[in-house]
Amino acid sequence: MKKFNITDFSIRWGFLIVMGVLFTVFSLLQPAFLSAGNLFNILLSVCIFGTMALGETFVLITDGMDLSIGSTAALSVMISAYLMVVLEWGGFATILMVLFIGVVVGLFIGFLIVKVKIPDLLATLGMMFLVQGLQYIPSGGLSIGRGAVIKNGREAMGQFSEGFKYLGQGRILKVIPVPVLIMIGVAIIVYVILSKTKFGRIFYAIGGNPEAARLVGVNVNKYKVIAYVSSSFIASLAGILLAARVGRGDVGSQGTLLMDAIGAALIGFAVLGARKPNPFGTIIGAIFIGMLMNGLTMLSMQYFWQDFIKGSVLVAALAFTFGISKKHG
Amino acid sequence: MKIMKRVLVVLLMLVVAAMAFANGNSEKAGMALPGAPAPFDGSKAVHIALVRQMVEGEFMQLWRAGAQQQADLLGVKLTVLGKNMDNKAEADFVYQAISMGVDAIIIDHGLSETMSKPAEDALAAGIPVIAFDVDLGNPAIPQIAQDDHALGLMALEQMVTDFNGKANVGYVYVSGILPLDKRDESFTKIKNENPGIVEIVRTGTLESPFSVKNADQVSASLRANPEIEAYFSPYDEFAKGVVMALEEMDRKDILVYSADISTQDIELMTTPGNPWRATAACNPSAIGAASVRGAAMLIAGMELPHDILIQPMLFTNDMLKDRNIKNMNDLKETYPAFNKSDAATASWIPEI
Amino acid sequence: MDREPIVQVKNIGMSFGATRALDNVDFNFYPGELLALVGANGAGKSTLIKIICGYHSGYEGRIIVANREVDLNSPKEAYDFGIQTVHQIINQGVIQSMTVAENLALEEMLSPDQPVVYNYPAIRRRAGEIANLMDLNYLDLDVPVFTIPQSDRQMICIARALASDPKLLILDEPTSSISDKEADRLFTKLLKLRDSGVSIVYVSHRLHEITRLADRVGVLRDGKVAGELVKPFSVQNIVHSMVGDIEQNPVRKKDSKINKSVVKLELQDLVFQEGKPPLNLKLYEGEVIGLTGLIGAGKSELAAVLFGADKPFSGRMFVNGEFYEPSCIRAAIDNGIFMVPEDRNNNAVFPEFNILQNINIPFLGMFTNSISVLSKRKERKEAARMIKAMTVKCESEESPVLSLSGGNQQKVIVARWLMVESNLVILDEPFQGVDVKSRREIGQYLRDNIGKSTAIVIATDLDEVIDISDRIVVFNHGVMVGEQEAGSIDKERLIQLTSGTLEEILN
Repeated sequence: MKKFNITDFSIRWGFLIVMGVLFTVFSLLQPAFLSAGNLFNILLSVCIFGTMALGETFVLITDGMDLSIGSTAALSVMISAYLMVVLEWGGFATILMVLFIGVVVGLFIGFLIVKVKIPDLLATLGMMFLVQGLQYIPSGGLSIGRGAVIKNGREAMGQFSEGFKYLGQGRILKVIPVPVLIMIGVAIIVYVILSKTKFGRIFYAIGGNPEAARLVGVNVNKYKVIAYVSSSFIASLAGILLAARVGRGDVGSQGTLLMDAIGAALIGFAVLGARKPNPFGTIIGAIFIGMLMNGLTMLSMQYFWQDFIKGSVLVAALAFTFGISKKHG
Repeated sequence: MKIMKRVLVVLLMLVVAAMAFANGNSEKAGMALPGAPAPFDGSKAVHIALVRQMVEGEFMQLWRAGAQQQADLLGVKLTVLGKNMDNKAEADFVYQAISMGVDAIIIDHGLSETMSKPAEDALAAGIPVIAFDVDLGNPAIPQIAQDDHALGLMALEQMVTDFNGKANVGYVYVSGILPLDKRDESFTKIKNENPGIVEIVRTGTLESPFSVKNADQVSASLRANPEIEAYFSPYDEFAKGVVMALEEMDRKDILVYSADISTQDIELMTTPGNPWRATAACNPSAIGAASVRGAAMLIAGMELPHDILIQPMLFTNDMLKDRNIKNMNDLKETYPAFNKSDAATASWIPEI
Repeated sequence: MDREPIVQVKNIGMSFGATRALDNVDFNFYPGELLALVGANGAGKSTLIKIICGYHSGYEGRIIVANREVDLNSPKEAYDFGIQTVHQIINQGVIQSMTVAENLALEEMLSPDQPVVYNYPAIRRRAGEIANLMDLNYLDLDVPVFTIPQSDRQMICIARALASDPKLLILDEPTSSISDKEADRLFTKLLKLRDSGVSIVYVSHRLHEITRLADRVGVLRDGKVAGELVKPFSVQNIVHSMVGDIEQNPVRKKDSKINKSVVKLELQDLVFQEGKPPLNLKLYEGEVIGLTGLIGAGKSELAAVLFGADKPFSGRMFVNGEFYEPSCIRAAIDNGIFMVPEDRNNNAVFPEFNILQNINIPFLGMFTNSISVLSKRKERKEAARMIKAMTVKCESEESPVLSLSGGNQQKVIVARWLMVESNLVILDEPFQGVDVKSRREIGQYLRDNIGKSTAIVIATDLDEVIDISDRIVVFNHGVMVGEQEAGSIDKERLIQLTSGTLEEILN
């Protein structure tokens, strides 16, 4: 039996304890916080960037960073709207097309990084702007909703299919939001891939020491491309949820998705003292952000204060991960 | 260890801060209003949520101030939920308000497609909903709006007076936006009634920044049509563009008629020699207050008409200059009627 | 020597933990003299140099510069006393993206006295003066350094060192990464410099260079001065004093496991470095080959070709008699050719992984089910087997790999590649940073478990290869210059083969 060590204990459990304390405090101050409906609200409010964060986790594990996921999700929103409202496609075909475009974006990022050799951060920053502009092109910069007049002067007569909207707005048993179930499904799949399969092991190996990975026979470039394709694919899936949620092709729908997603994944480093990107931590990080925002809103705290506190928590979690955990590793 | 402790201390401080904020806004339980129906008779503390699409900008701030003022007079707790231009978050906030068990929800702006479902769910949860400037397409939800027909008419009637019913008019307009379309209907009406009012040219764009892009279009069309004497631009951002173009081309003889008002608009209108003649506007504070009144009436179980229109007032540059009005506060103080709206009123509701 | 020494070191000693790196070392450095410093790996050459150029404070003994005793605590202090050093790795001494002029006048450029507005013409003028010191006028001052040859970069470093008018110039292995022709040019310059009165300390493994250049040879062995030789000296007598009298021809019996009837790996006319003669070599079942040679002799280059990391220029390879042409590292692994790379920390260890994960990484397919999910049970079983077999000292197979000592980490890395049957295992400098006990254990395990496979152990250190090999193959300048069988090892001959010029050895 190992000796009990307060530092090891806090590295492992500190974050979850803080989360538990906050949860208790919110519940005491605002009893409505604890209702089942509200707990699902929290999950509902995090499910889109939480899903994106799961994709980002692939890239973070290989020691990269994908800054383009917010734009990719927004692109999915606009493409979804364009296909259904303007071209009057069905929901299912739209979903397949949007996911396909997500894969294409990921392949292109992979190409820039692996073949053109642009550093990850710069390539994805460039793609962020590129995709941000791209999403406006089909509609000429306008939101796409039923009746909107698109460039050629014709009125768009299609609409979001009910099945498509169900992905964002539906509730199972009238309680459990569908997008939350989708996020949980993605989380389970990503968890199994990253923690239980050989592919996950190889991703972590590349992040830990790319040269050593190459010398044990790993095709590092191939896996990097797979990581970016996964990240873009999941971002476009999140974009579908967002489109279904918003119900129209809303320009500028990306909002703070990118930063929230990366924040969630980074907070995830501190969960259970993992000190590395991990899907479980990512989901906990996302829920933590959602819980904090929900609780602070209920306590009538203004949005800029919420951003300030969110940032403080992120910095604290990172200090916790990189500052102390390393020294006691 | 030391760092670890510090991290915990910081987090605890955040928690304490959160509690302090919460206490600062804690509810005053059940203020009794004379002659009021339940629950405003003091039987229960009332809580209204204001869910907003936008929180920044003068209009939004005045709107909120008016709502808060009315809520205080009613002894109602008003929780504002909003993040600037985040439509998904706006939908989330409705659900959060439902969980919080509020007594009514005011939805201020938003996308119809995004907000219809949450609003429906709120109604299903037994929470009345009232909406401003977003069509939720639900007969059970009263819709508050500025009276856009009146906004257009008031400005145009001033134009008819100024020009004795005869003017060559330039027009800035973009179709497909509901308030603008209503103001356009007023213009059609005025043209029919006054054959002397002739629309010479029509421009308009929603490219950002509105004012600059519209100024470009206006100056181009003015070169082609120098006979224009007046401009009708029923949206103040468009009017700014027109004024900009007129100044650049040194055509300050042309008078500008618009809708909406802000402090920046007042500054422009009161600048000597500025061609911005008149604007018709509603007071955002009055809208906010009317929304809260409407919500309160729904809570009290009173009937409200489906469409509630807020009547505008007309302001000319002479009025503003004569009374030395510099900003929206001056305007509200100088014209008390501007602060009031007879929309959604009841005897037991204290007036602002 | 009737002249005054410009720098004297007296009774110098230095310990790193329990290791006595230097003990009671005395040397005098005279103006106008080129002193060559030789010694086997670990003899203390680099420690001595680092003390003289101020990198190691906390040494024992005295350093006297121009009759004044000084205390050297930082490179800057040594520099101020006129001691200049040109280090072994040239590209650490130049800034590749800057121009030749900027590199030459680097010191001026970075000096705080420079005007705020960068005055390139002035820097360029100064660079021209510095270039003159080494007759480098043929260099284009305005091209970036990465466009010019290694030898010119070396010359830039030396010219820069000379610009401050040094009294003592130390050169550490200056020829290890330049061609013979480039080296010749360097030697001409060095002799000219010596004649102009500079005291030069020249450190090299290449004994033939030393016989050409040196006025005097200082020999270090096991941290002590093993002798000072004066002209005339031959490679023979330098080697003799490096090796000493005691440590002659260690005896290791040839192993009986070798099965000469089975050729595991055959290289036919293989050219793995441009412009080098073809290599022919056969490795037999159960054999451990020691491949030695100085840095730059081509050992790692051959390993890269065998392991599929590089393509050969010409020639053919056969594994078990079948034509072998790996398209990538994975293909080599699939053909049963494995490699433990040199520099464990950078090339082999996954620092965030535990021991089990570090061992199992190349062969994850062994532990998965049909949908690629890993079986923890299978992973544990294999890792535990290897940990036991390799006597890795650890708490459990899931302890972090970084919690192990260097020797045990190396065992984990070797275990990674000995876990499954192979045709050939290459171990590139497997004993770097490994304690003697671990080294013996790794060697023993390798020898005991070579089975039907074969192994190539690459090491610069002769003792390491002698210790482990059935046969030693020596490379020199990309050419295989000799081989010796265990049981008939001649260490002096081996040193000559590694350190001599190709002409000396081949004729």
